[in-house]
Amino acid sequence: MAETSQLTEENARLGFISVLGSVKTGLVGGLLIIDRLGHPKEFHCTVPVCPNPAQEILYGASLQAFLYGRQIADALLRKTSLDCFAIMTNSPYVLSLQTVTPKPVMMLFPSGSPIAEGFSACDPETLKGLRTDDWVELPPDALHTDRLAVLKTIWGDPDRRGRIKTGLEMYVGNVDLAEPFDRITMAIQESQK
Amino acid sequence: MTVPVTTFPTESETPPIVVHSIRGGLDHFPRPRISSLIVRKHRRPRVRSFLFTDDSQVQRHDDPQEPLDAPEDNFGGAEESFAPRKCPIEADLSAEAASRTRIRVPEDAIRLEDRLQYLLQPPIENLIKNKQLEMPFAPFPYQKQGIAFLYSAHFAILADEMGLGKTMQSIMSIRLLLRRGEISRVLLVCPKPLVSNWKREFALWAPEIPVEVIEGKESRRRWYWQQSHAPVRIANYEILGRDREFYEYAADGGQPKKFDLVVLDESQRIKNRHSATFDAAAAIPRRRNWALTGTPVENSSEDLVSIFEFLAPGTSISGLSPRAMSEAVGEHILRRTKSQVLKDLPPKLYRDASIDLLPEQAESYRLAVEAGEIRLNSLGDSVTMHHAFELITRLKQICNFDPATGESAKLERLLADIEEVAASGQKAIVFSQWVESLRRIRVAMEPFGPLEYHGQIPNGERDAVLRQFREDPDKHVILMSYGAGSVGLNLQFAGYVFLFDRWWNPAIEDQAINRAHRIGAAGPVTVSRFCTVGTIEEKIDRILQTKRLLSETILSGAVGAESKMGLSQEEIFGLFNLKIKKKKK
Repeated sequence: MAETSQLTEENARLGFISVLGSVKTGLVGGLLIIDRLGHPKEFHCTVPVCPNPAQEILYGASLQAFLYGRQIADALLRKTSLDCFAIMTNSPYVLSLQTVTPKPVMMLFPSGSPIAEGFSACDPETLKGLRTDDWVELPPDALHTDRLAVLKTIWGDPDRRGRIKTGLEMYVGNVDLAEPFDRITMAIQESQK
Repeated sequence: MTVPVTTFPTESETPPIVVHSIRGGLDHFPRPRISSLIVRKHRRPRVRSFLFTDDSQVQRHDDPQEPLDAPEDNFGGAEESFAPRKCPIEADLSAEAASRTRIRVPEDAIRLEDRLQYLLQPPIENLIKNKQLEMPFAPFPYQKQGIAFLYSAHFAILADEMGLGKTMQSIMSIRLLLRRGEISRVLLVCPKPLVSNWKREFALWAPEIPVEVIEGKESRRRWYWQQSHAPVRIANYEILGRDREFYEYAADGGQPKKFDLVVLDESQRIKNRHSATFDAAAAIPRRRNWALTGTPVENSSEDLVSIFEFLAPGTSISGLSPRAMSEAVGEHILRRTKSQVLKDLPPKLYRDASIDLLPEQAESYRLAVEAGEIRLNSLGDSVTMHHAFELITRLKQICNFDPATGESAKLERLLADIEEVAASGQKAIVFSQWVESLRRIRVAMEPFGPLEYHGQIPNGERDAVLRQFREDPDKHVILMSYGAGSVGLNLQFAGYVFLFDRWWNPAIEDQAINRAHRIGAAGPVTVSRFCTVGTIEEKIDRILQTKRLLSETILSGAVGAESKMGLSQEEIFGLFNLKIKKKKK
């Protein structure tokens, strides 16, 4: 489902999701929505979450994708009151969120890291039916310093591709796209003190 | 027949079904026994939400705590009950994180939402690289830290050493806060000679911000105080005292609108909390305060007490030892020295010049000392500090120029030095506490295009004097009084500073020296401190050194030096051969 509202400087907000911790000790997710100048508009974080033994058995190799994307990220996204044109994440497990939201979910890779490495932590089950081949790395250009991957079907749609590019262009020069993840990390750590 | 246990993870919203086992035999085919677990709809983790409102507040909304279901019903959702309520998160920040300057979280921000309000702000680097926030040049890292410090501070002292850019750091912080909508009414108070300098700096660092100077006739000033909508207004300390009724009351006589921020530049002006200046500053209705000073401790630790009382009314740090005071103010004061943060700043080279008085000068000095001490002793119990200061002034003036012949050992030395300065195409600043001395120096300096900048030069002409000194290659010397030339001026193109005589306070001397030794200085700054041998100047120099120690003790958190090291009455009288019978002021 493509979003049709026109992006402006006021509504071109970007969401960042990061999940910290471990399955054993507890996972905490954070979603930060910023405006084009990098100012925070909303922050949501979960309480610590652990899978129960039954889930560990039932979900097997797909457990992390289930927890990161379908449980935590989805719960965070549902709490937002402001719309954002895309969701950025630094975890491949969160990409399974794409199965439940029409918003583009984009993976940010550190510069110089082959994109496949980003997915190497996930087995094919992890992405809930979406295979590694389904994602495309955005061409490196002035839009970002780090590398972005987005679902091929989204990038192949001219309207949605145009919307992503228009939105990201508003952030060029104002925001380092990797930086908000640090803020999420600090905020989550603060919430757990 | 036995079928092994198999589990089927599901890939959709359909609840997973688990088949434990199927048993059967060859003789008859009983229905296989199937165990099914119905998994209820996934329960989502509870979420805490923090919404940033337009007025820079943070609203918090927590999901309510749901009662825990029976364990068998919990197959669908990740289980909070299996996780600790608090989960220490060990996570590394990005490699670039260390190079970013974060807005400081105040220690008095206790609630999570209050702390997140600061923690989730973009780093200063992001804020200042904003395309709409152009700057003449990029701030140094320590300046970004200063901006981050002020940005989140409701009361703070920026006490950087002169020349490190307190003006720029405050203006950038004001600029960011105005753009964020966190403030809309700012009052900046500074000494009168610095008003034009502040206006110029605002035009440089925040050209889009309208700035008004509160000046002119009474009716006009009243309008500035009560009617103007300019986001930044500048007033000098003298006007502050005169216009008190204008800012204490609104135009209709009611409660005035508070300033969102009041910045006191050269805040040592309010170091006496019994003074009219302190009262006038304290009466300004305001929400947050910053004090800017390179010398928060000029004479004694009590100087800092007054500034702190202005910043945080009702909070007294009076009577604390320097160590305790350092701990009490530590979070609210940011002090950096050039040697700490500007490794690349050209060195400041001290060349103390011990000068022997000329014979005629020495004789005049000896006679003056003898006559002075006889007079002081003859006053007996009625001797006061005022009498002592009179004698000190007299002696110091003789150290500058012999009243009988007009001869001066210092001038001869200065002349020789300035010849060298001019020959190398350099410029020099000469400081004295007396305009009369400066005038005499000027006569001797005529070949080097001397300029004067002191209290007798009208305010309207001062900028032109500075411009001429900066731009005219034939103007090698500017003669300044400590009072007029020690603060707020940028003269970093001068490579030489001469202290023709010494001020009472090392902080004032530092301010004077730092007119030249500051950011932008192209080369080393050579400081020559003239001191005549065997005179009262040597004794005063020793006292100045102990004063400097006091300042360093409080501002660096160092211990020791517990006693007050200002210039006490005993020390003043101790400059002469006097026996104090009783203290008088």
